Amino acid sequence: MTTAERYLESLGNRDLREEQTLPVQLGRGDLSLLLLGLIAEREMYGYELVAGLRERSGTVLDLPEGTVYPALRRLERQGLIAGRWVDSGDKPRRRYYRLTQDGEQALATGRAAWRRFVAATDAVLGR
Amino acid sequence: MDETTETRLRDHIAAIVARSGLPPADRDDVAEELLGHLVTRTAELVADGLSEEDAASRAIAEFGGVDDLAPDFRSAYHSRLWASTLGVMLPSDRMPEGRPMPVTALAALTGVTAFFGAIGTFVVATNATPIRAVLATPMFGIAAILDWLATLAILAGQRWGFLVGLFVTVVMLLAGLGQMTSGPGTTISLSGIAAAVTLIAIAVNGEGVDRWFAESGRLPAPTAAAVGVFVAVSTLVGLAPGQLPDPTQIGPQDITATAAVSCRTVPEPGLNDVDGAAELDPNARQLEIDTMATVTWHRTDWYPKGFSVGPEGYGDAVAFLADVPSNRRAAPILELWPQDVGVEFGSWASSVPEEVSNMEAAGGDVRGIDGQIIRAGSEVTVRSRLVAHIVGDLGQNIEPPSVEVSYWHLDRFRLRASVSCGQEAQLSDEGTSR
Repeated sequence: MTTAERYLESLGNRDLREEQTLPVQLGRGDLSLLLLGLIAEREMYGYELVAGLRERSGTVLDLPEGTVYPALRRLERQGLIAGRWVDSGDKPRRRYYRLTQDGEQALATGRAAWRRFVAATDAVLGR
Repeated sequence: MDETTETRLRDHIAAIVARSGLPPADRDDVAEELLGHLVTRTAELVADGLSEEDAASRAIAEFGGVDDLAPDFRSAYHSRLWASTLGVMLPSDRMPEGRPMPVTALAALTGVTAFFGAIGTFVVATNATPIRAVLATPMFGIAAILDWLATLAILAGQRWGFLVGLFVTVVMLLAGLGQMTSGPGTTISLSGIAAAVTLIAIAVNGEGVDRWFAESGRLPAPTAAAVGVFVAVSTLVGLAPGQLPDPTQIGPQDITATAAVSCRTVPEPGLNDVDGAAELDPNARQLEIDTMATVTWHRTDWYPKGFSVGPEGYGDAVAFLADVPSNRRAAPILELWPQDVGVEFGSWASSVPEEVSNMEAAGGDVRGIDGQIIRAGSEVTVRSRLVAHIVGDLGQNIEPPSVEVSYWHLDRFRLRASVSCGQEAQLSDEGTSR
């Protein structure tokens, strides 16, 4: 199911008159793209990424926080990001992630595809 | 953070990790990362004013449970269908750095084995007798698939693939040695040589291979044990079908064969080559040994050579070899040859053992019985005349000769009898059933 389909499904299940904001269920591809976008800014660890997603999306993006971690492992196994452990004093160690060269390329491709999708959706719905 | 809260968080993470299908080497890593998240979030909520217990509950609720995370982890590590199905083809969590040439050679050899295993599967499926085909085809097929998976596993840095490849190579070496040392003449086994070279290369490159092996990915112990047991069982079972009786095939008890021999000596004065000098021998005689073999089939094979070969593709044979006692003294018999009588039933050489050809080369007569003639309830009479020239006085006291009559059903079993002149005998099983 594409993001658009999931969004339309969420619309179908809700009373639009009662909702000002609609939580969107993210798919794996969408979450991966968002994570790549955040990591592209600087090296980040999981908790920071969750906080970043929450902070920037408000309540629109709806996902259990833990689901970020399988997505990070998948990206790492795909060679799009690289992780390393960093000690942080008396706090738990943190695993920081940075974008690889392949990750930069994947992010560029993903961004372009997303913008085409948004443009097409806008063209149908009107601005 | 008090111990109870920490234990609660740890238990939550342990439950997720246990159901996530993570490679053993990654479990601690992932658990530490997830726990770090929960501990940080709980501390943050406590700082916001929640009790530690409430903070932990909320952190866990926001984080998600087994149902939220485990499927995502499994799909992250088992990205291919065959991988998630078998659970053994995961690329190693830490790929060994650099693959030594002998390991690559082992992967290549295992891959070639898989290729020929696939061909062998087809050959067995189409050429083996029905019951054996049913038993052997899945085994050959599974072994070929396993070899192919092992090849991919070696390339993915998995230890189990290396071990299976090693096992296959040792088996290949032993088979090659067996092939080269059995039978007359010298046979070169290319697969055996390739296996030997690979094993030597692995031994010589000990350090590099050891490092790769130490860094290679390991399966969980139960999965590794299951793969090991499967390899051992499939190897043993794969060898078994050729030894199993196939009730769709006939045995010696399904055939009745008799032979009668009659002999006569007729004068044959003429030129004979005695002691290398041609001369006229007025006493020369010709010994004619006539044998009549009658074969009755009470039952016939069901696809004796597999589904791809029709009855025209095989045949049985009856062989006649005279044992003229004086022949052992080498003098009186100048020639012994078959004289064509009766019907020639067709090709036999490709269906029966090589020793039948040897009997023909030794002066015997071999008559083929085409597979199309062999029917349940049918009877075929095969006649043969062996002729010997007898010269000189020695021939006067010649003992009555006997004929060894053999009936071969394909290359599976042989019925035989030694029949003297003027006698009749039933051919019997020598226990040569194969």
